[in-house]
Amino acid sequence: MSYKILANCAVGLGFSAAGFEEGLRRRPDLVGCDAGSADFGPGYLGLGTDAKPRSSAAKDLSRMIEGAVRVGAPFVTGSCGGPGARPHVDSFLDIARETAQNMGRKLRVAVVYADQDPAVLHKALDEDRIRSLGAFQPLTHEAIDASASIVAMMGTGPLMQALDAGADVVLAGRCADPAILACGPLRAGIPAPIAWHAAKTIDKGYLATTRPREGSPVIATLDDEGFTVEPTKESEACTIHSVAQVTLHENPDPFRIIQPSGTLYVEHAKYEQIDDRRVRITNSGWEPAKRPSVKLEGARQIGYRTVMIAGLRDPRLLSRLDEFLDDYRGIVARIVKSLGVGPDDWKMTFRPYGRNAIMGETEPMMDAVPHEVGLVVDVVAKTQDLANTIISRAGPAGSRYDFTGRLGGGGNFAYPFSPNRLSLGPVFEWSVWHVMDVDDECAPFRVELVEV
Amino acid sequence: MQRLDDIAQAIKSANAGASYLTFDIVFADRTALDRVAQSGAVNAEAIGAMYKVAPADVGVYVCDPVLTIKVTIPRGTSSGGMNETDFDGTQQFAPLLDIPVP
Repeated sequence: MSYKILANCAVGLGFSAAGFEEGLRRRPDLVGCDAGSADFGPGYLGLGTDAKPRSSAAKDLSRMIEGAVRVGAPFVTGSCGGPGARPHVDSFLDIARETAQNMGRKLRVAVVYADQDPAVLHKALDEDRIRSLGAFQPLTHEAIDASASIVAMMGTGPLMQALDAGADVVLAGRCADPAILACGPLRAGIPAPIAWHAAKTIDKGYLATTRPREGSPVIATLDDEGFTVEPTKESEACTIHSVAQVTLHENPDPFRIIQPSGTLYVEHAKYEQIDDRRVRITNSGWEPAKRPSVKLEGARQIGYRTVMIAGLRDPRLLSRLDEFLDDYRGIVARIVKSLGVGPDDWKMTFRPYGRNAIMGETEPMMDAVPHEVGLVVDVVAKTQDLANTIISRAGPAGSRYDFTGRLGGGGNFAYPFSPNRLSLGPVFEWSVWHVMDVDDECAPFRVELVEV
Repeated sequence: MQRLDDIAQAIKSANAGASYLTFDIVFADRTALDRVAQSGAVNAEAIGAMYKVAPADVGVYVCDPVLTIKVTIPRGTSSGGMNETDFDGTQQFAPLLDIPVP
């Protein structure tokens, strides 16, 4: 049997329209595109806002939905809006509704919610079914309750249910990237190793081609022995290198890729360049999980942030930057104490761009004296007003500070902006970054059918 | 003795989820890959010292089909938190450039 998947990189990043049309001409069985990631950080999950502007997402979504429906293939997207929580799925549903109206026809849309009920997580924690992912601290009941929002990452199970229900469009909440594309072939009876490896290879769309900037969608053609990958845009190519490196991308382990329902093994996969544009892959491995597990992501608010940017150009200050920053820290601490603010209500971080703002402690060139530093003074405090107040006092105090050896008394700081107090709003951190063992990979998720 | 920067074609640094940082050191040909892989220059001890993590927490993988050595380490802080300096982890590769390769 044969199964064709047409895939793009990510909703909101755009793709070649001509390439997409060419892909549709090939009559795919499924059209899919990832819409999100935890890579944007915990902020969007905490805030409930979409990572990409609506118009940007709508442009891509409407084109893909219209095209898929036109050729009679379902369209699947997952991790709507970035974090894939309820508000994000609903915002994509709104776009789908608008698309249907513009198309002048009704669409059957399946939404799959990934939001987790804290009660369910508390129970799982008590039953010792939750473990950390990487070096994250163990989950606590307190962290669950303090989280603004918690989602679980679905695999193919709930998506297959959505397809079984006859959906034209599937808008899934937080979802494992390859599941978005593997659900179709698995449902059609393609062997699991092939379905999963093909999905994993094309789930970043044009990143599997040699020239991602050309934005070519990719097509994987699956059969019972393996799959072939190619770009749809005639001018573009897939090579063994361009295709194999996708499984390395942002993965801790290049050979084993863990999914909710099992693990994909690619170490012994065979890659063949069948012509100058297409690659065939066989001998992929898959081991079903003894017990399904889902990744949990949760965000908690830790305060409000205000920052100030101060340019430093005084060679005498820069030659003793550590000493200056130590003194400055002490000066600000005294100011904050005088405001009657407790130590737990605020935190200040110095980010000296030009020195070690990017690598911190691991910067090998920390001792080199730069001629210029962009010092970002970053305050996170209990309220926005407190963060603003601390910055507004820290600025003049630092600029006026008569450090040892200072020449010019005009001011230590070169401010680029007026006002230089940049209020950046709520700040979040990951409060949940764990894996939960479950009996049924569909149980944490809810599929709803909507006609739009 | 050469620096890794002179031998590698590209070095990518990225988060692998919020708790890991992963580096892909890509070579132009099999000779270069084999030379570095066999030299042991990119090993858990060297990486651990460079990034201040325990060698036992460093993963080093030689990926033949893509002529790449992948190195994965735990992140100092989980990404996107208050002390974040590089939330995609894309600019953490500089120390790798100077690794001496015999």
